[in-house]
Amino acid sequence: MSEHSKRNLASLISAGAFIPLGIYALWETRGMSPLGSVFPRTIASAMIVFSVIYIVWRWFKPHSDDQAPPGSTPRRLLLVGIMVIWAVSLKHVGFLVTSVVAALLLLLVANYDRWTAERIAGCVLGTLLVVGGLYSVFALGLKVPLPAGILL
Amino acid sequence: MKTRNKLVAVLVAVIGGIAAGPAVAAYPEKTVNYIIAFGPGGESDVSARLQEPFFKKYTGQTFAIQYKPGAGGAATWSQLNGMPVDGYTIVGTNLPHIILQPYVKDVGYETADLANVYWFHFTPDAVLVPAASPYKTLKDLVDAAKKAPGSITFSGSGTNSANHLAQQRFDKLAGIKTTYVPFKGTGAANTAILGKQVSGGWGYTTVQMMLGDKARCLAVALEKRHPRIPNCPTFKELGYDLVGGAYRGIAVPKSAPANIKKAVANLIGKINKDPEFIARMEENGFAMLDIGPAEMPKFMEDMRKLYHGLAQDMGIPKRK
Amino acid sequence: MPGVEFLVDALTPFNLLLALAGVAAGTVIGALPGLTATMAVAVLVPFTFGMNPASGLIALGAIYTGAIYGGAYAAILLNTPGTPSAIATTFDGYPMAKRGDGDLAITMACFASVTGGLVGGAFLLWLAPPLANVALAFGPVEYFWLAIFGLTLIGALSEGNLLKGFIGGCFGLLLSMIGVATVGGDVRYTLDLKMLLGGIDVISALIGLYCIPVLIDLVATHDPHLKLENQVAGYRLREAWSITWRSKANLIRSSVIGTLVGILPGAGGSIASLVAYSEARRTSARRENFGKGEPDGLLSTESANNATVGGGFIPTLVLGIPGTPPDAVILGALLVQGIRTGPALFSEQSAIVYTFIYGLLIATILMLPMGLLIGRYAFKSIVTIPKAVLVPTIAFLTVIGSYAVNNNTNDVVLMVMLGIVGWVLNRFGFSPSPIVLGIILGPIAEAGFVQGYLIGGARGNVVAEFFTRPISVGIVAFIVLSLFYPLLRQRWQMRPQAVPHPPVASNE
Repeated sequence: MSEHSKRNLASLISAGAFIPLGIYALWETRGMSPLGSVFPRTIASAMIVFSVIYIVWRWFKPHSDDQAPPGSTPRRLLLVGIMVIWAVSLKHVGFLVTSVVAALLLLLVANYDRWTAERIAGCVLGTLLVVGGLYSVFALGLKVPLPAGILL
Repeated sequence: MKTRNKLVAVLVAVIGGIAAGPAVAAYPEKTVNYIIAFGPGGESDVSARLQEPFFKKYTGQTFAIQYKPGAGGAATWSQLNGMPVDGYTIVGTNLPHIILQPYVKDVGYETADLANVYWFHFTPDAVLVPAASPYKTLKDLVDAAKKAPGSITFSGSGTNSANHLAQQRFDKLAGIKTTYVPFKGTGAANTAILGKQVSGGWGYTTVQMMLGDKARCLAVALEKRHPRIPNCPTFKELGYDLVGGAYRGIAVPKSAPANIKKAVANLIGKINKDPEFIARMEENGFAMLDIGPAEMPKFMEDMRKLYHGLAQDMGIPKRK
Repeated sequence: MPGVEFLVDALTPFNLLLALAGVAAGTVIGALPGLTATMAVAVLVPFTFGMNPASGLIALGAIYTGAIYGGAYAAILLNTPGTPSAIATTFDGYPMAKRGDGDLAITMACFASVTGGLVGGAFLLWLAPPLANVALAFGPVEYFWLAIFGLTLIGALSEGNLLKGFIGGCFGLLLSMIGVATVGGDVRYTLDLKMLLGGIDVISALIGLYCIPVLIDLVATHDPHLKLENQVAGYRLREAWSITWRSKANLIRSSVIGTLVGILPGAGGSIASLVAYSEARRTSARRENFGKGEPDGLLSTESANNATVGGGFIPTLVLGIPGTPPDAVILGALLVQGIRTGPALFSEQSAIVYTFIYGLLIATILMLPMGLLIGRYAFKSIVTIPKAVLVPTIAFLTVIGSYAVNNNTNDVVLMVMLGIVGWVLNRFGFSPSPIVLGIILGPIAEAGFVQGYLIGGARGNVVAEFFTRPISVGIVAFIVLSLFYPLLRQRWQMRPQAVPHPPVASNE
């Protein structure tokens, strides 16, 4: 029972989150020209309407199915954190350096097996090869200007 | 003492010249990134691609053309001054965009922020109708518009763009009211003309060249008829003082050193004087122009006055 | 066959090599999430200047078609479309992979893509000029209804979560409005951030919303990403062939739909595959399995999106109006080579055009062995690479891919942010497809609506503009059909059961 209500609550809240979003969208259309505001208003209103209908429906017809993905939350958070820092620091620190560091860190986060010497060597080498190889293809082959930042 | 100072000064100048010299003489030593603020296939892209072989001819290096579309070009121009200043990143700029965009709203840059080094061509405005259109001359169109104000529709690329401005200017000159329907890009606007979704379109001479005999050009905004479209009268011939279009040029980041700016300008200017380049550009409908660093300040000021005036006439409010 | 005298030109060793290399390169590029067909073509255009126009075109066309096919790999194996055209391929491709049928899926994707490419190419060869005129009949209003059709499909496809699908679609639509509006020029929803001035790039959103959640869940458990049933990792050719043959009507129909949608400038593989998928589902006896790993679903999407390659060249070559984004790049390249497009192209420069079309067809045929080969290696590597290396690899691809679209680091940041949002939403039952489709279809729907409104206003009757044009009526009919068909079908199926029962009352 408590599992059910947790899931229902989550569903209700998530749908409910779209309502203030829709209201914000509507509010922002105040400053727009008539032609420019038509679509946002229509869509924002539709979103609010759909959300309300969903919440009402869900309230009267709670979830009975199963759910929550198992798995390690700390690792997930680590992945997210690494990627955010990576994305933000790309421009400033340099593409190659941040990518190599981030890739190696992700290697740690994603690994579940025991670290043997050959495993470390193999994985690190593999990761470096992939990152380095792709980097070369893009930077040299496709001539994409990857930001250099402070380092490379 | 004086002589010694003078000697030192000369020496410093010479050394400085020698040091700076190679920097200028050797430019460019590697591939130059040429950033287009729009998507591929447009006039900016085509003119850049036409420049490419000539760039190679004169420098032995190539362009790496990149597209950074977004916000009608504002996405790139607002980032221009953060780009590398070594002369290996040049950005295509467009008029009226770079004057009108910051005029109307905060788009992340001001016109003065962009260091334009050269304006190398423009695409003259032209009124086009589908080949099967009942309007055979500009007069037909004007008469129809006078009879039913607002019923004549024109396609064009974007809002507050060159096409839009041309439509508004002409409406005023002819004393008529037509409806402008903006499309995202010239391609979409052309489709509308060909598909007869609209009465006609405000495009450029380049569009006429591209559509060939599927479209008819009713007038061009040039002083004299375009050599490749001899059948199309100019607005001036028909009694309307309308000359202009969309201008395209090259800019570098503002803090680029003066010798780099000069080198880029010289290079573009050189390409612009190549007779074969001129021929190919005109073949595609472009009209050549040479505004280099010397003429730049006056040109920009003239343009600024022109477009601000037009904007005021159009009732476009200046941003606070 | 028109222009068959040029078939010989297409078969020169140089052109064959270009076709082969192009298809191979394109497949690899399309497979990597973040690299799109447009990017591949744009980067390789300068290399084609040294060749004669026909050969250059063949190279570009081969890369294009390979990339559209390659997008299926990431869609099937990683639940991330390699290109927007492969979005609908994730619907059934990924469930098949999770179930252990990944190799089967890849083989079938190859068959479907080759079929679609050949059908599209055939239309290009025989029917280009008349079909181009059909494309012109599609005005803003038709595009609007087409986009609405796509959006209702999203909802219809999120069965069980219909409302969440619509909410997601609306969210995507709102996201598409961030930036400068084409009509009106307003700056909308940018939160005064320069970063958002250009709006949200479709590819970054695609990568973020699909790929990041996959990554987040990959690190969460120890289980291998995909099951490998036996030690097969083979082609499962016979099996794939028999399923494909059984589904030939579906294949042909989807290819035709793909070609026709590809003809419309601005409508690309994503819309084509969606429409084809929806039709396949509607007419299938196994419709309940669609979305859970039904091979027919995969066949329909992959044939439709490859058909858009040939279809997209029709307006490009005949009218000079690009059918899809890669076509815009190719058009630019043609202009620079001095080739003027238009119906005259087919008569005056028939050598170039027909050599190119035959070259494209040959490249498509070559895609069969190449695709199967590359597919096998793709599958093997994804399955055997330890997760520990897979995660950093994919993560790096997402970063470099989203960067390379516009050479803008902001896109990378947006991608990660959207990815986090996407994972959260996914947790709560909002799948990424409606959101991404909303982002793609939003601009089309809005432009169509506002332009139609302006034109209708100028003609004096807005309502008539939207509802009385013949093609629009047709599309609206399809919309209604797609929405209500499931209900009607249930009604019809219940009827026979009512017959055996004796009539209960006369006022029934």
